[in-house]
Amino acid sequence: MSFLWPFGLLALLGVPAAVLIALWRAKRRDVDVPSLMLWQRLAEKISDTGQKHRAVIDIPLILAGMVALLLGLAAAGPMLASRPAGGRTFLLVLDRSASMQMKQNDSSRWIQAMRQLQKFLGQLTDDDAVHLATSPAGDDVRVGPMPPSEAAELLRAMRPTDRSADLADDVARAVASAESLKPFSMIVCTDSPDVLPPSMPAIGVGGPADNLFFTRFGFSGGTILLGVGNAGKPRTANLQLIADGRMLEQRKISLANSAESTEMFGGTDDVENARLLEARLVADDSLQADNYFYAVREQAQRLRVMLIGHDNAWLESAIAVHDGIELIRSAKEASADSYDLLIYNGVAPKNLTGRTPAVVIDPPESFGGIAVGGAIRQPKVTSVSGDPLTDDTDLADIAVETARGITAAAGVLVASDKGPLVVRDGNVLCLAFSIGRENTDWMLKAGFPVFWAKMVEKLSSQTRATLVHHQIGSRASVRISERNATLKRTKPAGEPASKPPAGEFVFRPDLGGVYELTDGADTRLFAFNMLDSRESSTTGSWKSIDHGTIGNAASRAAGGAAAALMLAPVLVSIGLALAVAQWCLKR
Amino acid sequence: MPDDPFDTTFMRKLEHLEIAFRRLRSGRGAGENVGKGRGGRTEFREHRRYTTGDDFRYIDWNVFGRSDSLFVKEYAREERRTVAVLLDASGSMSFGSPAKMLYAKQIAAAFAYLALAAGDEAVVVVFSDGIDKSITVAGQKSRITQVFRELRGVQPRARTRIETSLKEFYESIRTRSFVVLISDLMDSDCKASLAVLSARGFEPCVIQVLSRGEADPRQTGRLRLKDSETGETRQIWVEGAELQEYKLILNQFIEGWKTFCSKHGIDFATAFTDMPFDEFVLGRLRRGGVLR
Repeated sequence: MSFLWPFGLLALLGVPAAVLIALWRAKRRDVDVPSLMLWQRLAEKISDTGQKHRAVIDIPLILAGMVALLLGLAAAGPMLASRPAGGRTFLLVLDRSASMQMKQNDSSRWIQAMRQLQKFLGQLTDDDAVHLATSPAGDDVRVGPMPPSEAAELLRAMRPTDRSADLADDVARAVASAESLKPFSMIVCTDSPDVLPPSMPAIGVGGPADNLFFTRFGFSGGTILLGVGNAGKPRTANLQLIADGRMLEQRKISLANSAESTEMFGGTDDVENARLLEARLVADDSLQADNYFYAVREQAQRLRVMLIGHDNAWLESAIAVHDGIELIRSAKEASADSYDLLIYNGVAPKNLTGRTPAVVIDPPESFGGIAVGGAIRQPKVTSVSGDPLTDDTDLADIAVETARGITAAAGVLVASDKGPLVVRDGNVLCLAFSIGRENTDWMLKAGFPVFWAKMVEKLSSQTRATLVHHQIGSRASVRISERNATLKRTKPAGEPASKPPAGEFVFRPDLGGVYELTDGADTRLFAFNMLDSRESSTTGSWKSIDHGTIGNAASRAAGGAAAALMLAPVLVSIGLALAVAQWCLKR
Repeated sequence: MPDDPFDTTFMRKLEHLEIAFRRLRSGRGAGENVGKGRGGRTEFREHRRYTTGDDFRYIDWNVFGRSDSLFVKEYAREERRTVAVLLDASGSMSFGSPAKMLYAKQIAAAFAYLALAAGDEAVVVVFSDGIDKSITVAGQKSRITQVFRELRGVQPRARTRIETSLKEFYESIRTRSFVVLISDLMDSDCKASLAVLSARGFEPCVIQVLSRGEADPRQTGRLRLKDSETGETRQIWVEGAELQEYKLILNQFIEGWKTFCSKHGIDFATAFTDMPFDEFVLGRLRRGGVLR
């Protein structure tokens, strides 16, 4: 049996109160009277009404007790048979942010949350439906509906993440996505219930934070800068700097409460040449996930060039000789976002994004702001500009048989006696001449592949390799060529490898650390770190909910109230009838 | 109720009672209390010729001036009556708030005072299982203080035996008198004595004193009642219905007394202790018959 208004059960205290009063009254009391003369007359008069049995069977008292019992039950709104068919619907939003991993006494906030939620789910029936949502939200904002037992299993399999959460936003999104579920009851389980509206039922877990953590990272000229913060009692800890598994330096740091310090390391070749740089805070604090920092030296990536339009064996051969350039051919324009350079050969670009640089060779028609005219024969190069693209290239003896006439406001890089031959407009480079053996012998010269290598490198703005890392929660994009490629976390603790799909692969791990991607012979490292002062210093706060109240609220929302009210008038009516009977008996 | 039942407030109330009493008396026919004997000092009766030995103070010099003869004034001698106040001081009188005893003492004192004020003799008899004490005062009303003094020392005690006490009373008193019996009447065998008293020429008046708690008890449940006078106990379960029944029995008890008194020409009144005693006494005086 459950009750719509459990507080109404307090009215049942009237029953023991009535019994106590009755016992008190049944206790014989001595009373002095002036004279027994009149009382004796009374006693004689009522001697036939069963005075002796009154103390044992006091029917008015029994009736009074029953009245109190019935009215107390009615006040609580009993709903034994009133649960609507189909059960109730609950939306549980669980905080999985990094702060939920914090140790709290002998357990963690996460364990506390699990206990509370399992307790709640244990009170539901199979008729009830549960939807689960998490913050930070997963790919699916909401999972469900499912029976409470299944939700309990799912919760047991869940782990907290190293990510930060915007709880209020995630809750709002979960509610928006659950609009179709209405009516439903919602419960948020978090260590930060204060960010929620006061009326929202929330289970709060945790307590004060006692935590050391990395706050920031900087790297310049071989010098490393690390910020360390303290969100708890004053602490002393060892700060270790490790390069490729070798300890470079270890120093002791002391931090006061809410203090932050900046530690500088470096200037050594070990740092300069390290493939994996690791920093550790050795401290027994509340949260370990933010005691690690990783950075990997990003290797120079192969530049990806898309050749659009006509085939051009000379151009393709010139680009293919460079290991660092990957050429992809396409008859039509494709998404330019994943390429470092687009080369249009004999076709005019239709969709220049402006972000990806483009080279247009012998365009047949005008495009962008560049007007292209008819063919001109045997143009003679008359000047070369100082643009870096052509600075190192001697174009003076290039023999161009035919070219297009170009009029443009773009900067002229190479001119001929009949007008511009090579122009540049932002990220777009336009070569007015075609590259074909019938027109020119430039491609036969040694400078041709060098020119294109420089062109690809400079236009794609490829920078030098450096120490890089990702904030946990951000996405890393990589192209997987092999089907048997593997991805696994190697630090701070090794985990089983997964097999990423071939092709474009975007991954966003939930846990910080070093991830190793093996794609054939190529091995790449990715570093993900917390560096989130807010999560590292979140103070948990307790807030309990009355599970029964939540369940009853759901019942009311599901239309159970009307059915439950049917019982209350019946109980009240019986109680009133008994009260009248009791009153009559007392008279 | 003050500790001393006869304080200055009480005295003021007695004086008011006396004034009210005089007004009542002045409304009666002249000479109602005037006796046939001579020699009094207050009420002129007739002149007679001076004879040797007459007191010079009674010579009417105005008549001598007009007739040149000596006449002395003769006054009617007022007849002195006896007002006997019988005060029940048994254990049951100690109950109530204010206590019935206190209230009864004040009524007794009031009647004694009014008797003195009227020039009568007041006899206050305190009884329980017999006559405990008797105080007789006459003359000036200031002698009431003697009554106060005696009554202050009276404490409720023993059980009520009104019949025995009345018997002792009329055997001891010399003249027929006006008798005021003040009691809660919690004695079943006293009516015959009162009837005898009335038949022998006394003028009895019965004032029953009850406390409000006695007339309207509130205690319910399983009670063991203990008689304050005899120590006898009785166990009884009392609820609302029983309380109603008790009130009915009490009313029948009072009505029985009224009927009896009416039958024997005895004035009867019931006083509840939550009623100011002076209002009660005055009320009884206004209804007449208690004091003349």
